[in-house]
Amino acid sequence: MYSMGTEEDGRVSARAVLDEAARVREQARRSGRWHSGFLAAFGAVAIAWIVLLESVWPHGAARAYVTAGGVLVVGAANWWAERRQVLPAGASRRLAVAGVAWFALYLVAIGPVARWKLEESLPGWTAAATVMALPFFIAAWAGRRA
Amino acid sequence: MSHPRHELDPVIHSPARFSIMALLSSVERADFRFVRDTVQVSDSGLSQHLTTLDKAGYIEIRKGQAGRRTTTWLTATAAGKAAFTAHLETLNRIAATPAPEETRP
Repeated sequence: MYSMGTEEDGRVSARAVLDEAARVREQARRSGRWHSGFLAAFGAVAIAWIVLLESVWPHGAARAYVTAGGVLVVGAANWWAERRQVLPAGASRRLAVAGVAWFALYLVAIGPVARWKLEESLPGWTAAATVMALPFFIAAWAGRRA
Repeated sequence: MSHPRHELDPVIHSPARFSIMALLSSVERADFRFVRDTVQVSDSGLSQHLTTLDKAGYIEIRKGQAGRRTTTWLTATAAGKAAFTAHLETLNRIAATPAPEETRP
């Protein structure tokens, strides 16, 4: 730790302390990397969920099962995330912003237009769902860079 | 002019507490066991340091339930992050101070 001895002791120990801070922060950063993959997986699941809901099984009981399945997957993902030892800086904010943006795109912007123009086209909904999931991929990329 | 060492935060000055703050100021939250293993201290030693940091208002300690397991989450407060940043800046200034022979013409 920082020594109160001579000037030279002070400089050397200050550098050692700064090295220790860098070591600890690097370890924390590495342990928080899972969150970027988690966000990217969230984006992939969101694409699959919308395609199933809007194109593959858009009617009847199957639609309700897909909706319930989506809720279960989100619950399981949350349960898994709660068991990680480190939540990286800004992780909750990135997930919340991406989630709200995805929801807004699906409910207000792209979703209604796609339903009107594409009807139940599988390639069309795959493309639309991919665009809607972009906030998750952007958040994953931002987390990776942070 | 006073030496920068007088500006070092006495709460963060301890080696273990410095490492704890270095870790917590770079994450949103970390589990007690992760901090213990990274900083390489015992459970009781970490608890004592956490109490000191908590009393200074530098960290928040929160118990959470993950299934059947109880998890202790640790988070650096805004005051804690600011104090750690100031402490780090002071250390950087000390480390960057040129040695006496370097200052001679």
